[in-house]
Amino acid sequence: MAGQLFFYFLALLTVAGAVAVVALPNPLYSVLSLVATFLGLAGLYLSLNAQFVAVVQVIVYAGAIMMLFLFVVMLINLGREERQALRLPVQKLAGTIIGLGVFAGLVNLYATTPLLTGAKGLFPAARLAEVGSVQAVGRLLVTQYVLPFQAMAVLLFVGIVGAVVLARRRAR
Amino acid sequence: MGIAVEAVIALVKIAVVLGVVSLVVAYLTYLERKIIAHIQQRLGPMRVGWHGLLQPIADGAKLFLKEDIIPDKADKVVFVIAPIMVLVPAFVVYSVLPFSSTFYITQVNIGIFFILAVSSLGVFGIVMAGWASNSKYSLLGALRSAAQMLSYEIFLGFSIIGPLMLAGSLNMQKIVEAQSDVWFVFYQPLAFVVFFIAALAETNRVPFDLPEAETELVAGFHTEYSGMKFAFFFLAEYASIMVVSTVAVTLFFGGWQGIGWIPLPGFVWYVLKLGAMIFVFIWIRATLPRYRYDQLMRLGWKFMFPLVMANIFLTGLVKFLFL
Repeated sequence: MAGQLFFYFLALLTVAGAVAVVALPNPLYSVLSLVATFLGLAGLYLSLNAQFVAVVQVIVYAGAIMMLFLFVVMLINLGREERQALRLPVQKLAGTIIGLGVFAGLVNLYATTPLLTGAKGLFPAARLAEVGSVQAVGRLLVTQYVLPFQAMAVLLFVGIVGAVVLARRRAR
Repeated sequence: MGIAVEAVIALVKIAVVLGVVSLVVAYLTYLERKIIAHIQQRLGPMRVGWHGLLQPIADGAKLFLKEDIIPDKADKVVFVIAPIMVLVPAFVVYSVLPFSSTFYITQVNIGIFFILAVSSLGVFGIVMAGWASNSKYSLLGALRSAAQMLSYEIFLGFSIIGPLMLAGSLNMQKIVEAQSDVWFVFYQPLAFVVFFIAALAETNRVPFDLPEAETELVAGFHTEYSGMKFAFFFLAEYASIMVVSTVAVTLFFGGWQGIGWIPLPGFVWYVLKLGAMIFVFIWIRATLPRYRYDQLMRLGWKFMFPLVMANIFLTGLVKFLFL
């Protein structure tokens, strides 16, 4: 009962935050709403026994990445007229079509796939309490998913090198 | 029935911790003024109560009764939310701190990670305050603070990996229990030095108090705040000093574990160690000048970052070869 109540609260927070991101006129409010959405998501992970994922969601997305978004929005700090001028005419139409497409895909997935609930999978709650979620995630990362993990490392490295190259060219 | 009793116990514990922490935080400001005064051969607060002992209460009453000013050009909503966004994470963290072997609000498997995550949210309040004030000084202070806290969070996070590898757990209680023989500060001196420097930067303390550098930015991000909202920022700063000191004591100095055979309860040991840690914080404030912004970034990325990486590598190597 209490768990269900928490779920509805977190789901409401997540969805309301996501709606506010696109509905609010001020980009700074949008960023803050996105933070609320991410916190709601972290709460949902937590209620699914995925403590590690929840905390990483807060540190990486809500903490670091949204901070950078906020940084950019604050530095640029556009007025209302400047923001209006930046809007593309097809933006709304394209956004609506893509959004509806993704939604249709999700509905299709929900309708065709049987839902897994509770104790299925490699790490049900009882086993997770035994090994701890950090160990579980860590072990999977360096065994079963080592290739995607390494590929991601290369991707991030390319990003860092790219940033350094761009910054140096500007300085010269 | 069982759940109701547990909930009541938890609420009582939360109330006790909140009350005690608020009081201690208020008296930290007194302690800081007193210690700095004596280091500078002054007396510090002397008028209110014996040796100024009632000064924090007088200050609190003053701030409470002061007129609360919201600037005309400020973004009202964000301006009001910002101090709350700073204060709440600073206090939420106390829910997982191990005050003794038996007294804590809750035990989380990922305790130390939880602390890092929640305290990383505090910077939002600072940035919101700086932006909402609509003042150049506030905005500059907030931007500095965001850049500083983002970078030093990384070193803080990496510096605790060494001790965590030794403890083999993220649970605060288990980390303390793992140090029953030797404190981790002896195995991990490098990690401790980096942790301490990063902690100073995370709490915006001297020598890294650029976000509120009074000689250039008036008061940085809280320039436009007054009354209780200002007090919120102040309380949050001291609450986070207590938090990082507790993390330092837990990870590096054996938490509530005693020294030798001296029979003192765990809680007393915890308070003693915490007090020593906080004294060092204040001592440093009275001793060191402020870093420049570029020096801050150079120290972080070119010195501390390679150091923590080497520390993690060495710890892993030693653990793999000998343990």
